Amino acid sequence: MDAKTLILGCSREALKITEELLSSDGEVIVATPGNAGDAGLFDGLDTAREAGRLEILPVAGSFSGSGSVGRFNVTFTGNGESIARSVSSIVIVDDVERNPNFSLYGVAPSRDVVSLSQIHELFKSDAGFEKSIPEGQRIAFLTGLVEESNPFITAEVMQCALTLQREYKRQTYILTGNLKVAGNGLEALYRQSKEAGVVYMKFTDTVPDIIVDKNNKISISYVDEIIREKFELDPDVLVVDETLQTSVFSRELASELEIETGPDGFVQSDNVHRAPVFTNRKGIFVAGFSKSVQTEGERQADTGSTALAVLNLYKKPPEEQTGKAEINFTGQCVRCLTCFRVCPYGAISLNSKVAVDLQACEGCGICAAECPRFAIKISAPAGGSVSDRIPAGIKITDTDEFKPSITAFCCSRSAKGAGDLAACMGYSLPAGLQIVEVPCAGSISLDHLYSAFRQGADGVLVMTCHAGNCHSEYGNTYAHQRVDQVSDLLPQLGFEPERLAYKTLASNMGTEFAEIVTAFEKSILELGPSRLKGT
Amino acid sequence: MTANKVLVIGGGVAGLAAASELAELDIDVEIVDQSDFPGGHAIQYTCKATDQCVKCGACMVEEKLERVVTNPKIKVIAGARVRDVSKSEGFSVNLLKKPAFIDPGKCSNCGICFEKCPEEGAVLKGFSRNHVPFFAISEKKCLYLKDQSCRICQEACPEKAIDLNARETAESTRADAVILATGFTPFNPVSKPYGYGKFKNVVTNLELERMLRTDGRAIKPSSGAEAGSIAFIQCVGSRDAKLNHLWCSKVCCGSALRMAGLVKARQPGTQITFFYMDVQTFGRDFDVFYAKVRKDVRLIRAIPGDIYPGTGDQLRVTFLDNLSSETLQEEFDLVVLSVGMTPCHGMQETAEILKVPLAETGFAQKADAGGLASEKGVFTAGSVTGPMSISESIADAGKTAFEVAKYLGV
Repeated sequence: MDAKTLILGCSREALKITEELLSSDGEVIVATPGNAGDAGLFDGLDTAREAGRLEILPVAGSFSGSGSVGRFNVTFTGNGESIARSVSSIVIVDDVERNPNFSLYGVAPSRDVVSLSQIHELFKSDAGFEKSIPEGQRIAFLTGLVEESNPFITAEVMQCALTLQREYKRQTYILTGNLKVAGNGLEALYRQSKEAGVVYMKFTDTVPDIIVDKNNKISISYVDEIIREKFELDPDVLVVDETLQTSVFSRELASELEIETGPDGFVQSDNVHRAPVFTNRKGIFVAGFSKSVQTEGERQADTGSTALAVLNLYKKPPEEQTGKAEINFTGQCVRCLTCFRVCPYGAISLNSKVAVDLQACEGCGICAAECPRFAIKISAPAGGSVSDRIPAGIKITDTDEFKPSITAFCCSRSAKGAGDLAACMGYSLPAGLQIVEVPCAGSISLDHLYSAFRQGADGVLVMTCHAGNCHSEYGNTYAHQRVDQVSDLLPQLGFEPERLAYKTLASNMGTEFAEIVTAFEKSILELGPSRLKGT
Repeated sequence: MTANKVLVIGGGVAGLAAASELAELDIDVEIVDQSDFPGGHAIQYTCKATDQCVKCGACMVEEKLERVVTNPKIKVIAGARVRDVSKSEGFSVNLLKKPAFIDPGKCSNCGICFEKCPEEGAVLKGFSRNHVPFFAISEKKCLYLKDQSCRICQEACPEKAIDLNARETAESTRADAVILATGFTPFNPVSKPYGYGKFKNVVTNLELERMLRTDGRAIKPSSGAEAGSIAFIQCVGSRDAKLNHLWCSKVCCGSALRMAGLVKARQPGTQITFFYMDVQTFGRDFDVFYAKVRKDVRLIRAIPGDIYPGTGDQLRVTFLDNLSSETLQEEFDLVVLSVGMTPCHGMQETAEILKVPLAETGFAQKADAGGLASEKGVFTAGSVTGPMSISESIADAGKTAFEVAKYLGV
């Protein structure tokens, strides 16, 4: 694979990843957002630039991207020109957007009411600092009082107060909700700053009352939560903390490149399978502040993990990178684009014919199950197609007693492992249980479910990953919908709807697997044999 | 020239992740793990999903272990520890391997040894289907190893897979680089006034993880009945100036509150109280999670002083109630101590063998941006350098694997 990577963003992590890739003989294009504050960040890399291995493109206008892993075609348009490039992988690693919480605390910015970033600016010049905050003045920080904070901001607040206290000899106060010390060295920093004289006030069920009058006089009245007495504090300077958001640049890239984002708006779905730097699209990685609010140590770990992931793509021979399934489109395809819409990995390409990019495909089978024309034939290299593996219902004839035949469709990433573990743990599982391992529950079609009943199952279970834990993002949701659809129809076909059930599991839930299948067997025992039994 | 080989010491999530990343780059890897059941502490953790995944990461450990055991480039040496290391061209490493009482080639995981063993805890069960064999014999508890009084398991084994006379063996190996990934040791709370070890119904968060993992319910160890009221006590051995433990263990708030959520979903009648100093942010939808937890769980910002026996097998917890500024006593069925992460047992010795500097905290010194610990060719991954979550350990292991690949010129 071409060792050419596009780094999108302007951040220290972007610089670090660029350096690492250049040192691994890669070629890098860095595209920085037009409004980047620190565009000179990459100035130290002139040698690579002169050697033609590094190109830096400030993005003034719009960005578009197409293609998939191994060959992404990207175009930057702006200032009346259009620049097109082709790269094998993409990394999104921009800086974070900081929004001061003035309104959250009911105060307006002024000379004496400033944000955390503004106070950092003051440190840059000693003369400026002395003028802004003369000797003898007292500074109060507000953090995590209305909304929960995070270790990144807490670290900055504590460091800032410590510097003011120790180097500038100003008295500082930190008014905080939960003090977020879950970062490397933060508890030690907390103790150190306390010893240096920083005063901490913690709030749980009360909030301090903050008033800035028209003469800019600041007064804070609060209840000390341990002794429950009222106190007043009148600092000269009030510093408000900041809320961190993903940058507009990161957000726009995610939307253009069809990357799932998380509940916090950052560019990675909140899915454990994406750890540490992966996205739903192969060959597109996300790191640092584009990924989430992270501490210094976590962002550093991301840079190495990203470089490794890119290196892995470079080194792998192409034949090892083809996907996990064989997929063919039959003549039934009418280009309805359902597959294009549902593919979580962006692996469907639309040229003269609809086709699958096998390198980007993860073989989940959602496209085949969703295709309204049954035009997609998919089979895993080892296991064949799911349809071929649906077993005939077992007829247990050693006694006259009815032993239900249960077909359980199990996702390979969760329920299959849970079933194996249940067996290891020594649980006795129903004699009539037959497991059909599927690459993703999203590959289970309506036809598969009907077919299991047709083949003589007395009950059918669909067992998938928990919501929010599907490697294919929504495979379990599709499976759930199909189970509901079939359940609704079962009575019309003469089956009790209880013969079909949907359950979620993780691969380490052996006990729960045993509980589910045992309870299901019991309910089928009560219903008796399927009406198709023996026909 | 022989192919590059890396030795990973410690088969927890960081060691496993680093190993499979290196194997992907065609590097041979050996993992030495002191436990019979590799996967570190986290392989014993429970999935904390209710209907919705809560991103605890426990399933990722299972996935990493699976990737390792199915990768032909990686060899796992379980039940072994490093005796010494010498360095000339590469590293020469001497290992001591526990006796292989159960032959993995013969064992069929039938579980008869476990069923027949008369001594509790003498035959141990694994935690993952990737633990092969799924059973192990405890050197501490086995009666035969104590006084040769019992050979029931060996005689009962239908596969003739058990040999109680097996001996410890010495093995040696070589490596071009070493990754130290020995993780952490959970704080031992016996020194705290909470009666741990004395009262059966005082357990650690790790014990609750295991309980939920194997039984699926929060029960009272004293009777096996479901616990009707549970108190979680946070920061036991973390953020403790008296112990000079000046660190937050990062993961315990998330672990405890997620377990509280799971128990609440499965045993809705259970009353849960959470004693804490500061609730730490965990997960990217923390605000939503926290809002729900505040409805389901009573949060009290105080760390209890003592625990005494109460009515029946209940435990009486003493704490300062902020709202009334009074010292209160309340009884609970089960008390869960969220024990902190401390430097792993034998850290000092390992550090000397590998010439790894220690930080003030006693954890291994986190290498600077270069990723190298002091001795050339020795690297660290995961919580051996300080508390880390599962996902942080995986990211750290990725960075380490990259540094190792760079060092080896891959």
